[in-house]
Formats: sequence, C-alpha cells, structure tokens
Amino acid sequence: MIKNKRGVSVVIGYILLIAFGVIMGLIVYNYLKTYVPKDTLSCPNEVSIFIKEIECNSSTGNLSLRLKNNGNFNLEGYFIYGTTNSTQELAVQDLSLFLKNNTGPIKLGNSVAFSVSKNSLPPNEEVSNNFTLDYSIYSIEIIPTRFQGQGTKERLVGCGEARVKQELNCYE
Amino acid sequence: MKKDKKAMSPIIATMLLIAIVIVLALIVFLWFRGITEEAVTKFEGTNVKLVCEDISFDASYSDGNVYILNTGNVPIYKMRLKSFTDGSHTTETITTNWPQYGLTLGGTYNGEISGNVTRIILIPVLIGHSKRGDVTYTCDERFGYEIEI
Repeated sequence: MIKNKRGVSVVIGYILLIAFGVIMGLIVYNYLKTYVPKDTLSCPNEVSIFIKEIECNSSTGNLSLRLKNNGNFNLEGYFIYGTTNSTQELAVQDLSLFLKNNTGPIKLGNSVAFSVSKNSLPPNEEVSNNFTLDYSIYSIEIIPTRFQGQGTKERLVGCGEARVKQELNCYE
Repeated sequence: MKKDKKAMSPIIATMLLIAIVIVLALIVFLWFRGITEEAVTKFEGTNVKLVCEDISFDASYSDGNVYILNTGNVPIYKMRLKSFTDGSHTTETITTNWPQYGLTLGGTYNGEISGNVTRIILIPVLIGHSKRGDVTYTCDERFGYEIEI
C-alpha cells in the first residue's frame, strides 16, 4: 500500500477553485451585461408639431406649409412624406427632395431642417416652407425631428409619436 | 472462489478517466464559447434582442403594394415578409427595391407583393456586432407588423 500518497495541496486547491470561479464569473458577466437596458435615443413626449396652414396648387406643383411648434421642446426640422394615390394609407414618398431651399430651410439627409443652426425652432414659433412637386399628392405626413444629446454626442432623432397627417384636396 | 480475478489495469483506468475529463472539458468549453459568440450587440453593447423592442415602424398595404415607414430611431437593415395564403405560409426577405443600407432614420420603402396573400407579417432584421464581425439578427415575430389583406 502506498503511504506517501499526495494530491493537490489545500492552498493550490483553493487557488484553482477561486481562479475557476473568477473566470466563470467574468464569462457570465460579459454575456449578461449586454442584457442590461441602456438609455435609448428617443424624443421627449412633449414634442409636437402642428400644420397651421397648407396651400397647394396642382398646376404649378407648389406646396406651402406653415408649421407651428406647439410642443415644449425646440425642433430641428421634420421628415415629410406624401401619398401618390388616393387608396394609399401610408405616405412614403419623400417630399424633402422638392424643398425650395432659397427660403431658409435646408435639406438634412432625407429631412428638412429649419435652418443651419441646431434645434432652431423654439416652442410656439411658426415657420413657412415651400415645395415644388413633380407629381400629385393626396396627403402628407410630417414627423418632427430634433437633435438629442446622448453622452457627449448630439444625434438627430425622429419623433414618430408626434407624427401628423393632413389630407389634401387640391390635386384631385 | 477465484482469487486471480482481474479488472482494468490502473493505467487504463487513469487514461480513461483523463479522456473523459478532457471530453467533458471540451464540451463545456464549446458551450461557453457558443454563449459568448451569440451575444450580438448594437448601439455600444446593448444586446440586439433588447434593441428589437425599440424598433418602431408603420406599414400598410394597398393595390398589391406594401408601404413601410421607419418612424423610430433604430435602422432596419432588412425586412422578412411572412405571407399567408390559404392554409400555408412562406417567409422571405424583401430584396426588390430595398435600400442598400436598410431603412435608416425616416427611411421608407414601397414594393409589390405577388401572389394571392390573405395576411402578411413584416419582421424586422437588424445588423449587430459580435466577435465574428457584423451579423444580422431577425427579431421575434412579436415585434413584427401584421396586416390583414
């Protein structure tokens, strides 16, 4: 019978156990930390835009909008879409392509910005924008946008909750 | 009674034991590696499964065309279209006219749907990052948009 039978010393055993536990903990932590919700980039609830006046002319293709910021936050601009037939429920044709940009606003990606400065339309202020369209539209939808801070950066966000729709009858 | 009854030699037994341990260790290693690689993230480390909850888009159907508008702030990389006909369904990724980089902020899509469909479900597909690089992730059907036709 072997008398000097030796296994792993108690200290080494503990070290191995702790090391194994730490490694397992790190692996599980790295996986589970991705499931911790972070602040998502979104618009405040009190963002709102209102189409105060709308004028359109089917012969010239001119579309004039007077928009009012009736929310509590400054706005950067808006996405604008139109429907090209009367049965279409959702407006998807991008009308920012037809913006007359000699009137102040600028095209920012596929959106319209009120001016070159950020979030330039304060609450209760109004602005007029004009478009010259190539085709007839039956309704328009507008989604306001604003620059929203995320950490050290400011990013453009769409405020889908504040979307407004307006039926048009001038092109019929 | 037999006295010279023999079992496995201690060497064989030790080798078997070591082999079993190695196989078990390999299985555990592969399982853990699978778990860590499956963590597809987006927006600086958020699991893409959570990002699916933040997707917001609107869709409609008329005259054989489907219209999609991304009203949220999560870019939709692709869209899976689950089409139901009488008693069966097919799922395919929309490719015709789909923007190369997907529906970004305020992005829109309109395209034709062929066939005699009675119901469609639009399921968003996101692109995220994992250790393998950029990978696509199809959100659960509960994040889809259902349209009765």
